[in-house]
Amino acid sequence: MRLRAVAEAEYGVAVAVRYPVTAYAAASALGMTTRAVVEGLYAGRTGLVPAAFEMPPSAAAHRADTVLATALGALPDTLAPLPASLRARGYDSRIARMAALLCEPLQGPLGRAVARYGASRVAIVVASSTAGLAETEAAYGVHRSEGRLPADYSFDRSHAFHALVDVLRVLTGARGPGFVVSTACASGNKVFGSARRLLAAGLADAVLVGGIDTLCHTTLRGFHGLGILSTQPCRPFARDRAGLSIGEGGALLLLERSADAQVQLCGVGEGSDAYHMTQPSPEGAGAARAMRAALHEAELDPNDLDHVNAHGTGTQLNDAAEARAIHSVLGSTVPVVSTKGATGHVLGAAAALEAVFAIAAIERNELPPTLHCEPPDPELRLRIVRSALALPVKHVLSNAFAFGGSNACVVFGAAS
Amino acid sequence: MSLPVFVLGVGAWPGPAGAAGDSAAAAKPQAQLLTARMRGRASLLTALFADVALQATRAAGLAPRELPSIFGSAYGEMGTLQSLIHQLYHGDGALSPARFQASVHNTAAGQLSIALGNEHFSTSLAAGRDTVAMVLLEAFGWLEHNPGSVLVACADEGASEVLQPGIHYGPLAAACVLSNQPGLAVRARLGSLCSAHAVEPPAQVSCNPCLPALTLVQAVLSGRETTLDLNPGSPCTYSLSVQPVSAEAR
Repeated sequence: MRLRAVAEAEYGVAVAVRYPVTAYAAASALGMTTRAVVEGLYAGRTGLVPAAFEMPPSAAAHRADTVLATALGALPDTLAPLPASLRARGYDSRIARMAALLCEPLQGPLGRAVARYGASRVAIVVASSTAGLAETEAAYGVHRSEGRLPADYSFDRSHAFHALVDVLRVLTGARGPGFVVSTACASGNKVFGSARRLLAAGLADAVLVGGIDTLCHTTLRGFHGLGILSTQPCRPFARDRAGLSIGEGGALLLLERSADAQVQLCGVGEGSDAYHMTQPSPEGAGAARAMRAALHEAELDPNDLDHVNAHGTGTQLNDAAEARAIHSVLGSTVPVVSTKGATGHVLGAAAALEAVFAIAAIERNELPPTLHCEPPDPELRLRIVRSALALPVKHVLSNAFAFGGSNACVVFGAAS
Repeated sequence: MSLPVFVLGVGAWPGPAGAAGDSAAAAKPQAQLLTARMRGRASLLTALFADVALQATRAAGLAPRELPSIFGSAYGEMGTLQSLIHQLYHGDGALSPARFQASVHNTAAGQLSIALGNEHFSTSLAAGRDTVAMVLLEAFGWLEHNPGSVLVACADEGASEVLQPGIHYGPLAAACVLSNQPGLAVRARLGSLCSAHAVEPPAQVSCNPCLPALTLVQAVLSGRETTLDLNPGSPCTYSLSVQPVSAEAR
């Protein structure tokens, strides 16, 4: 209760409302369906494979260093083409095709939400950091060699953030407010904060939330340039962790004002490190504030939490700072998992994907394993779950921290 | 939404009366809120955000480090992103770490929070022609449950010659400090955002997507009651009423 009193003073009045998560879908390196992703995670499979990420051919001709050796979490199968109605309007892109893949299993629940509330009361709030950057990289290569962009490329429909919202509107029938949250790797948690505000303020009755990101050269080369891209599948919280692995995919989830559902969104905590663009504050102070704020909004105490799905990227600095934050807020006994050894870091969509994992833990009363964590770093003083663990799970905290010091933590809970 | 929303201060670049092509447009945005080291490296977009954030918070009489903030940009760090892609094709294989970390959509939010020591909530949104409307919607949602003020800022760089051929518009930024508590600095009161579903979105955005934010600033400064169309041509049209608040009513 002491924490609650401190948080009350620090964060103001909690919005003590819980919103049911009535449907969700995920795709990642573990599989193209939610079932394949979740079952693969609990089976201890990894979708990360050593890979040589080649430059576009038009660039390779001018470059000696054309292949980047790393481990990638690419989707395992080819994406189906978009519906003709979208392609005819120039919306074809990898991220749009992923959006279609994720929308397909949600058609029933989304249709019911649109019918129940009205299309203009169903909002779309999704996360992305790359948007259609992969398409622009390729188009730029064509421009460089031919002096013009490809005929089927349009920045507004192939790349821009709002193209993702446009595509989701067409695919779902939702016509309410729609925007992309892009705060780098915290985006996928911040969408839950935005959705919660829309619902609490009566600005929407249902919100399709989530995030999608795709592999592209710029992010891979960029993280490589920062010296934090692992050449092997990432090893979150391991003593010898050597950086992150990039993946792709994401998740979409449907939040509603009221409905029967097994799991609810309980609280969101958001804040800023105010420390460094790419490094966390060493003591994890900003992360700890966001975790406390999420607990406060959920009206929970630290000992109410059964599990933490950590940001856990596998870099030395990130994992150390997050461990200190978890330790300072929750102590050393709460079971902690990083799922990035299975999926890779899906950047702006990572937390959306991990929200599905948090929900699955509650639905199954079972925690997934943290892969490649042998031996764990003893200095982190965390209880890292290294093989699937059955136990009662009522409340889960899911963390996401980002470039720019953007922090966002979300609490999900079992409907009582 | 039930609470009234007041405008405490505004800022714009180029100046509130301006548009691209004005003499004011020749002046570089002032990024005084950033540290000297950050200023030297700041992108145009980040400098635009810093400039209008300072104007709006100064007009509101509030310290920028004390405010939560909501940033909107339809396209984000376009110039930085384009230079990175150029490096992919022309460079030696590695991208500039400084440019890469400044390519994220929340670069301005991050740099301003670091420079100011601002640990409060901030977020960065994009919604094409709806960007200004969605930033205001996010602000209204924030104010509904958080007593106090919030900085909202919208900015986009000019159209890219390479990636947006045939499109011509200049850079633009505007900011407001909004509050759910009236005070001495109140300049206007905003009505609810009204939406009407309309038409197919245009294939491309042909003017600066943040232009409605400048229109809002101009409306506040004009002291006249008006209703603004926040995203003409967008599939979902949002309108907003602006009512001046007289000194006696403050």
